[in-house]
Amino acid sequence: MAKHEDISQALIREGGIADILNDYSPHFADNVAEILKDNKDKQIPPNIFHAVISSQFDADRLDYMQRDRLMTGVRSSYVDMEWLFANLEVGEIKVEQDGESLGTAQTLVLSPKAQHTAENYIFSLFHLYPNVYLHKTTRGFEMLFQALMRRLVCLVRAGKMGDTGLIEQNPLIEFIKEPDKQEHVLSLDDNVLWSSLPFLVQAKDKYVKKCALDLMIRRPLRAIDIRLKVEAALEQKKQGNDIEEGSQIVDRICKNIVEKIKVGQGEDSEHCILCDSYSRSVYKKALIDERSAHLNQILIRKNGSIRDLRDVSPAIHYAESYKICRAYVFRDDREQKYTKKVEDIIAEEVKNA
Amino acid sequence: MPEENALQQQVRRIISDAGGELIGRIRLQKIAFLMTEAGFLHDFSFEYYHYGPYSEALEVAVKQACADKVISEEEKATEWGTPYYIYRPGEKAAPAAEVEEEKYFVTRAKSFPSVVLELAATTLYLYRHEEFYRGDKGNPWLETERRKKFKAREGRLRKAYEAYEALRLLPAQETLPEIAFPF
Repeated sequence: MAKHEDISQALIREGGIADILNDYSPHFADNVAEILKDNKDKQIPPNIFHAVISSQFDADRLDYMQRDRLMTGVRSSYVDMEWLFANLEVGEIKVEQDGESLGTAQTLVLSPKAQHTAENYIFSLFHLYPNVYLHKTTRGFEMLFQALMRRLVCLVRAGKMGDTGLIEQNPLIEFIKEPDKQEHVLSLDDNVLWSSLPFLVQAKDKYVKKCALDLMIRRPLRAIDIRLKVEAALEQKKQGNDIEEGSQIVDRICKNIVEKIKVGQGEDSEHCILCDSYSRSVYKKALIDERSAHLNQILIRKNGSIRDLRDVSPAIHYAESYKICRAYVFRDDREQKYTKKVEDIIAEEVKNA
Repeated sequence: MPEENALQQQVRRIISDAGGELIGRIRLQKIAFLMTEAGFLHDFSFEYYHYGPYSEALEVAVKQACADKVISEEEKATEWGTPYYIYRPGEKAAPAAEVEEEKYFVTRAKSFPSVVLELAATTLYLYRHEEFYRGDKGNPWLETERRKKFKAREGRLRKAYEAYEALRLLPAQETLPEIAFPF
């Protein structure tokens, strides 16, 4: 499939965006596009601009967390952006490899006055996950959309395009046939999906029809919170008193349950139970395997040295990840056949734990 | 395709050749690449990645060897907090057969800084696998400098050349090519 970095580069180098950037300064569009490159000879460490584009404090996160908060009406997760920006500085950090120093590189650093605002930023973004991004209804519709797309891909690849309800020139079909072509990726947007739904509802394929109809009339899947049920059952069994140990036991049981559900459904693309697992950490620890290493972190200037926020904030250091493990069933499961199946698997796995 | 166990034993052999301790994931990858090019190893294939030549099969073998206690991996952190890893033979390590010239090669390679090894291994990779021996493609040392500007500064590219020459002149199963330094 066409890579989003390549598509972004193409958009910046050509067309309206390029004209605006090049008006500002000659070749500026190319300079900006270069930063987005993700090829194998990308410089390590990346320069300071990469921290703005892709890090735990990047421009994208700062933008979308404000926008999503506004658009969804969530009243919490407010961040004092002005204070954060007012306390943003350029600092020099050590670059190391295999425990040896390579010198220093420039990156963005916050002054000590912004430490608590930075903490607030981290938790505000984190809280948007349970409240918005991983909300059971939001994720349910995402699962539904994914199931629909998977089925469409299977049908088109099997030469059954006629069963999809779409014509050959539909951007979705063109994309499925040639996913590497940038123009096909660029032609996909939410309008394409919404306007395709009435045709998908007419599909010969029953699964496509069902998913499309549920999306069109906004009929959500029924969520079964596997993780919550496992936690409640273990609490009754008085297992996992230690928080970390308890969480690991729950992780293991949930993983087994999801595997059993998947095995039971086989390889076809008409799943009646859709599984959703996700883990979101509060803040990522610096990993040497990541090319950006410290440029990915939120850094605080404190007592004359530059420290990772995780090392100066016990709240962030010890915070647990937010995890979900859910199964979704269609609303047409009136006899609750699939709901019961999931519940039986949960009961069996908890019993064996 | 060699057995999983055989690959683990080769990882164990590298650690053993290094005198029973090797610091750094990147260093381990680069030494394995140089050993492969010098004919001491045959079962790992390498491709160009962010840190130069990299073998996914080697990474998997290292993880598996750690899990099976054939080697051990200790995580440490620098004063700044950057993690790095120390490899040693594990509890279940079988004694490795020693080849004198291989041991000498690895011991010598291990003595160079990780970044110097990365620059040398990258240049050799460019020469052998990206056709930088051809005049029209340019000098591989210059290409390494272009790709790794930060790492090649402060005289490290010259140090990489000197390290490469030191390794090239050691006895090996296959002679490493002479790669002219342009400066």
